[in-house]
Amino acid sequence: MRSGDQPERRISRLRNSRLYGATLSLLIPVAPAFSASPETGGTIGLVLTSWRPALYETPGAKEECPSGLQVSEDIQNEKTPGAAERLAKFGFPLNRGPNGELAAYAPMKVEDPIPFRELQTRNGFGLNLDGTSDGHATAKSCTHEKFRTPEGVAADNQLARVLGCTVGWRASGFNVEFAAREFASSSVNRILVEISGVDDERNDPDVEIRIYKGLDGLVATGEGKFLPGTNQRIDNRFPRYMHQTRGKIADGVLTSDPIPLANLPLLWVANPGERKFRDLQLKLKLTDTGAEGIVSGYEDLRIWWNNYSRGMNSHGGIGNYSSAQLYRAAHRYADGYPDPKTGQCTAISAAYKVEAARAMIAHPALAQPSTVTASNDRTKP
Amino acid sequence: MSAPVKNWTKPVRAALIAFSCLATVGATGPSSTSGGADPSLRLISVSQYRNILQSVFGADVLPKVRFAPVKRTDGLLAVGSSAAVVTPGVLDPLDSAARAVAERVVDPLHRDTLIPCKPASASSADEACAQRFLSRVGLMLYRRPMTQQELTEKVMLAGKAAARSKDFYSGLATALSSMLVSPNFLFIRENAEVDPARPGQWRLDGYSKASRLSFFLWDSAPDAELLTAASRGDLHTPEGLKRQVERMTASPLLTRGARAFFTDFLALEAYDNVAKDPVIYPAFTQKVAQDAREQILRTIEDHLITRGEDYRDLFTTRRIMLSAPLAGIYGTPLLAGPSEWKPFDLPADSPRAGLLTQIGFLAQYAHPGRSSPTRRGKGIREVLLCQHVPDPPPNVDFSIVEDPNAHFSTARQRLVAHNTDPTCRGCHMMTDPIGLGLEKFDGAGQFRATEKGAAIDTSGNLDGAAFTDAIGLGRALRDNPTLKSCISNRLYAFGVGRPLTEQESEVVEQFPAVLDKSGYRFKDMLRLVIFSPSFFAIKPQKGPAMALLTEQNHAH
Amino acid sequence: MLIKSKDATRRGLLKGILRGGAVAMALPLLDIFLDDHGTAMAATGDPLPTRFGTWFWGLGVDHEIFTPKTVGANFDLPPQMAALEKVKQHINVFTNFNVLTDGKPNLCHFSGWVALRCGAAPGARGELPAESLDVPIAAAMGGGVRFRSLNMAATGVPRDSYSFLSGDAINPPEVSVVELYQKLFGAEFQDPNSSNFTPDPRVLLRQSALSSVKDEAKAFENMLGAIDRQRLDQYFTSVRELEKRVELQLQKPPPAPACVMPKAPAADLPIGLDIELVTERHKAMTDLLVMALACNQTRVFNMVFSDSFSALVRKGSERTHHILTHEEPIDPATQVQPHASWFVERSMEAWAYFVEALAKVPEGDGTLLDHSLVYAHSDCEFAKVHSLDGVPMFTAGKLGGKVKTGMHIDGNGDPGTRLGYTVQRLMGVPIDSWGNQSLKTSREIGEIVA
Repeated sequence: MRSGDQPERRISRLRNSRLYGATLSLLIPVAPAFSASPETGGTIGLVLTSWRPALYETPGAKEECPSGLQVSEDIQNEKTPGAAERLAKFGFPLNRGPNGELAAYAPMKVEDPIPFRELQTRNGFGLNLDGTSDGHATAKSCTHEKFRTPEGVAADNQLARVLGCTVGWRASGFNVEFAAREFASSSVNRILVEISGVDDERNDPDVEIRIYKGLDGLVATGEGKFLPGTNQRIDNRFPRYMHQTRGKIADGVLTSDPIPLANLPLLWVANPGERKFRDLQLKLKLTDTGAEGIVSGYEDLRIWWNNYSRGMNSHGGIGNYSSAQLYRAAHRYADGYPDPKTGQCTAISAAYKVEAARAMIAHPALAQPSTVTASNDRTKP
Repeated sequence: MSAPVKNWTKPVRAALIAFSCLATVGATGPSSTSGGADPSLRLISVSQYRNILQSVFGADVLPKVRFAPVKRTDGLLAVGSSAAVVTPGVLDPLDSAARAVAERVVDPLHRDTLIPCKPASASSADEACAQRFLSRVGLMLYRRPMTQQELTEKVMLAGKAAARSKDFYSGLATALSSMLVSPNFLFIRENAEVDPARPGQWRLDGYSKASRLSFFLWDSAPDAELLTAASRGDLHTPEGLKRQVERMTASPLLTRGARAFFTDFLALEAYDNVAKDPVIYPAFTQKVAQDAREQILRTIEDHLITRGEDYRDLFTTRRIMLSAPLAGIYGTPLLAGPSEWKPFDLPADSPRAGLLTQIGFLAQYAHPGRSSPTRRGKGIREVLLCQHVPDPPPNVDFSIVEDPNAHFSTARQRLVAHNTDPTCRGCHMMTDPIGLGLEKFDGAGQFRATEKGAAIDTSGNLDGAAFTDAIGLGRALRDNPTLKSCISNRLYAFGVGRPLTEQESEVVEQFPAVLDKSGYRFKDMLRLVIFSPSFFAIKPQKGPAMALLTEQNHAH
Repeated sequence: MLIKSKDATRRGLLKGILRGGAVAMALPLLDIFLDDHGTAMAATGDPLPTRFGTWFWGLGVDHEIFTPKTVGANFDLPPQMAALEKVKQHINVFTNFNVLTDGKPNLCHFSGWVALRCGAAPGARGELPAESLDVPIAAAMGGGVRFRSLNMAATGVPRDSYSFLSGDAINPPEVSVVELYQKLFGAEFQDPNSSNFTPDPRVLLRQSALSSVKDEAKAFENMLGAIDRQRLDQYFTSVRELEKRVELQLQKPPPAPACVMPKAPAADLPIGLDIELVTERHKAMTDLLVMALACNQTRVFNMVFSDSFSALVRKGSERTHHILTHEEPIDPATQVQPHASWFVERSMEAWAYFVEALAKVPEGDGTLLDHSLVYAHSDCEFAKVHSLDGVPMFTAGKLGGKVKTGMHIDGNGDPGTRLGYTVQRLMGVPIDSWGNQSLKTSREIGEIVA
């Protein structure tokens, strides 16, 4: 049963827990809370409010990037003999290929003199996508190293090795902040998660999970936080962004079954694109006002690169990395879905840290969760 | 009787026929001279100001203008407007607005559509064109044709200003700006004239009647057709009056009139300053506050105008208008964009029904950080039942409530303790038993089942009618006889824009007897007001100056 | 540098300096404009302008921690007045002055301020028996400035005004910082220190428009009964005042050395009575007001920090200031309601900010404040019981040397209207008594008159 059918009863519970907790007393600020009704079962609506690469970071990057952070393409260019001649000939410092190719478009035409700074740590975030504990090659994965999550689980997140030593993607970096802002401000990125059939928000062995693209804005409350409980309509024009799977809630943590193939729209540092994930999984810690956790899957490498490499990325002061190196690193670390002919993996395990706010998901009359891309298991008991 | 009358509800039709007899008796009887009021002089309201300018010049010339607050009198700002004065603080923003409007009307973007002629030369005066424009605009702004003298003077003003500035259009703007701060525009002045049909009796002149009707029904000046009817004397005949009232109540502009009345009646201007504590009520954003106010008007509009329902059922209806920002507080998803409104039927098991459970009402009559049964009860008594709740005595003893060891969880516990004091009890008994019925809605109008972990008892009593929850309270209010006399009084007073005379109060007292049979449908209520024998009645006036008005030389 | 001669050379120099960017040179200019003593305008010999204003805060004070123990000069500052340390030499504090209602009810949070503003206790809520004292003061001070008076409500609520002609004519307050800026420093502002003065030709058109309005109003008046004629008289007065202001635009404004056009506020503050927000709005409005005074835009002002039923609230608290005054227990140790008292302290901080803002602007031999008189008060003493005895009052400023400051005056239970009477006398209102019934007084508070 959907929460919308029992609005007031649902709200009643949230007022209880929120306003009139035992500790409430004069002048002590109380935190807001929303919760679904355990008795009647119901739905938890979420709207994603933040989406960032899940990187393990220590102060000064000492542990994970002992040889330092990536240098910008400007510096790589300066250190490549013939910079002045290339500039004279092609007119722009980053026309670095033999025929003035831009590294962002023709990364293999460009060689960098300063080596790529490799991520060294074994600590990281993510989910176990290949099911192995040591990262050995399987039918759908290439050999790779696993991270250890803070919970001590072996996790796949090869994208962290590609981005982890790049200042722009680390905390407070230009790219990550820019992307975070546009993720919240553009409704292109409005991703809704609907968990239904919830009998107990803390523990429920079987729930249904649906993903939709939303239509509406978020209401910011300051400091990167967003108002819970806002109305979010499903964007009915895009059944291709509607996905469905099942999952479970244990101790308030939702874990989903993989969605075999999921397309998601993302406006990403000013580049709109349709990203493609295989085996997309969610692990979200549910709170009274929303959720936070990991969204992870094998991200299609070609699409990722196309989406990622366009625009204002590799410049000094912004991205501080080299496109040529990034492209090579991404292909070197790619660990999913090997090309049967070449053996090169065509996807990379990618974990994103997400935050979400509770939302009221409004269903259009003709809403039809898509079965276009996923072999949905709706018959599962 | 003319055709439209057939559409009227039977009891109303009967009542109006009875009223017309009453009027006849009144006109000839000995007591007739004691009836009637003096013509009024009302300061225009901000919405009337905006509506007139919008209908004359279009929405894009509207300036941002803030009117000074008028004293709420007998429950209405409309009544206060008949005593309001124009202090410098009031005139200031009106003067700035007048100049802004005039400049916009004549600017190159608007002049070709808003000015019906082109001057012979744009750099000098053009008397004929100025006259055409100013007489047309004057008719709408002054709600009557300008007198020959007025028009001549304004055309001369435009001419002088054009000569001085070497610009026809700035001359025109000068004249227009003076009309927009003129008392003829800013004050709705009623004129009395000798009634030729009834020797010794006076009546409002046709244009004054037209203004009364249009400000009442449309919250704006009369349109061209109504002015024409006034000029022909149609409004002095029952048929002519009926024709216009039927036309006006059938017009979509009636919505505007209804909104103006309910904005005033429900004191919605105070809702503009409702803000809630962002920590306690994070969901009550500024947008929610705005929409909460609008929701009340939209629901009323839908209920009374679109669907022609009974006013009393407004307090029990499960049908509301909802917007996306409000949906969050109502705890329901809504297929509506950020600024869309959708009708919504509250589910049968919803704890909400009726106007009292709308978050606008609940949040307005509460504190920034908590609910207030006393304020809510007082709001219901004073606004919806036209009653007066006395001020608390100055030296209230709050010692019981203050006791830090008492640990009151709910408002009821707090108030019960407080009301053991007999000096407090008297007044609180007027408000609290009503307001406690709404205690399952917090200070932001959000539903809650408990308060500080304690169960909330929403049972109470409204003038002898017991109820157990907010829905029951709505039902009790719906059936409270005072609800009916209150709206009747307020609607009548809003229509005449001044305090009721004794005779008028007597007339209004008869409304419920009629409406109880027909139902309190808005249009029927309007008809009862307008066709009541007292609505246009005017006291015989002294002095020749007033009598001369009928001979006023109107320009054409 | 003092230039004493009033000849053409000085004017030439003046022009030169002004062209060179007067803003950065406020201090040297000051000397140029003034006479030898720094007490009058050199160009005209006119005394420096004086100003009058009121400042209001709601819900009184806590007697135990507000009332100084000593009277007269060098009075002690109890904890609740601690914020006033910096401005103590500029103010007087008046305690133990009472509001008497002669058997009329004590209308909570209403009777007190009405009596102190207009000299008479109201018989019913909403009734304002006489005009507020700022009105005759503004009349006595005459024109010569753009705005007869400036009203501001830091609460942002359009009804919060304590300046009125009657219950039907309340002078509306400015509630928006952006709108206040526009009113004062928008397109019609003429920089008094600007070197070139070319009157806007549109001013002449505006004059003819207003003249035409007056003609129309005369004809209009003939149609009215006696009561409505009185109402129209007020309209006439307002039009005439507008005319005077328009006339001013045709004259080069006299130089105002301390006048620096403030920056336009970027955006308005949101609606709400959160005390931080109100304090912010109060500061922004105060800063604009101070510049409006320095730029000779007005000489009379009324500022409302919080209204008499103050619903100011602290973020996260269920209870507003007003609720706290009634529901918070009195701490037996300190004899105050700690949380309610917190709001009084914030009010005193705001009052200190206000006084200091006026004191910061140099003018002649002193400051803007030295040539001003501000009358501040609340609606009651102890809000918990709405006591009308000892409603706290202040003055600030020396009014060009006419007022002594730095004193605590004990009223010994005298009517509080004595201060309103004194203030009006000092401002040149020709009255020999003020107030009615028990509030009627013809006794100035001599202690503060220099």
